[in-house]
Amino acid sequence: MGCLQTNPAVRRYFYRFVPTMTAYAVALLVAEWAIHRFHPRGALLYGLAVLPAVPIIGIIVIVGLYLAEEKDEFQRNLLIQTMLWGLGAILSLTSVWGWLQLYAHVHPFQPFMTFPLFWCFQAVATAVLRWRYR
Amino acid sequence: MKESEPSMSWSQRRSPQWLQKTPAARRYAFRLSWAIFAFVVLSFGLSYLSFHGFHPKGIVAYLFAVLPAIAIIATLVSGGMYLGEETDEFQRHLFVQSILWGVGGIMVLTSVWGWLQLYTHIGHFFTIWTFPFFLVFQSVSWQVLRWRNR
Repeated sequence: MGCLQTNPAVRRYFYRFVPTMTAYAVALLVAEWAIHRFHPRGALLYGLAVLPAVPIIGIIVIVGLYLAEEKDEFQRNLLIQTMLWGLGAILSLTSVWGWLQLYAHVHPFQPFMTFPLFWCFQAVATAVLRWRYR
Repeated sequence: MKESEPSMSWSQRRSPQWLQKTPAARRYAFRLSWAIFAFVVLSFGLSYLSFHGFHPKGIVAYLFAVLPAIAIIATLVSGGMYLGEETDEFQRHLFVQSILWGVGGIMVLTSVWGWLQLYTHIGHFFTIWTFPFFLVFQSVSWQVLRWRNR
């Protein structure tokens, strides 16, 4: 399984990525719970809405750090390619959904689903590309 | 009087150094312009039809909805081609960083808006705006990064 071998940069990436993704999930649950429990208004409500966005910035910084630390150009290119595929998929999905909302009256797309869906598409692209280059 | 380099184009002589583009970046700008032009024409066309009461149904509605996404894919393919063609590794690095900022910008915007949409009376985020917002975030951060590293 040569395609799954990891180097120090990949290991550091996962050590940073997993806790930050966990922090995102926790921030989501905390924000949801606090909004339902305390019904905040004004600045506090906006603050709670912004809370899950902080780990999102963290994830982007972690990807940037990995790209700077990874010495294997092939692995770097692989991540960039998968990010582009993930991005293409999520931007296409939101565009198609937006037009279908107008024409076919489909259920409105929840914008906060963009982030988790982007990573799902990116994971699928990673699996496909790793399989292709195995 | 100091003569300017004959090989330099008019635009290169006028532009500050950090704005000058490599041949790969010029090709990217050319392809991107066409892809954005196609996106704008298709989007305006669909909006115009919708505004005038044309509401296709069934398979036609899905077909129409997919059209602007083809232009979106074309912009990302042109970005991928640029990364493949750019020989200056530093420029490639700046471009990748700008994509990351673009992704970060759009993810933060949609996440915050999504939550506010659920719990406040803020208007619905119309998802066809995701792509134009990404382009704005990515282009601005690319120019900022190039200016910072001039």
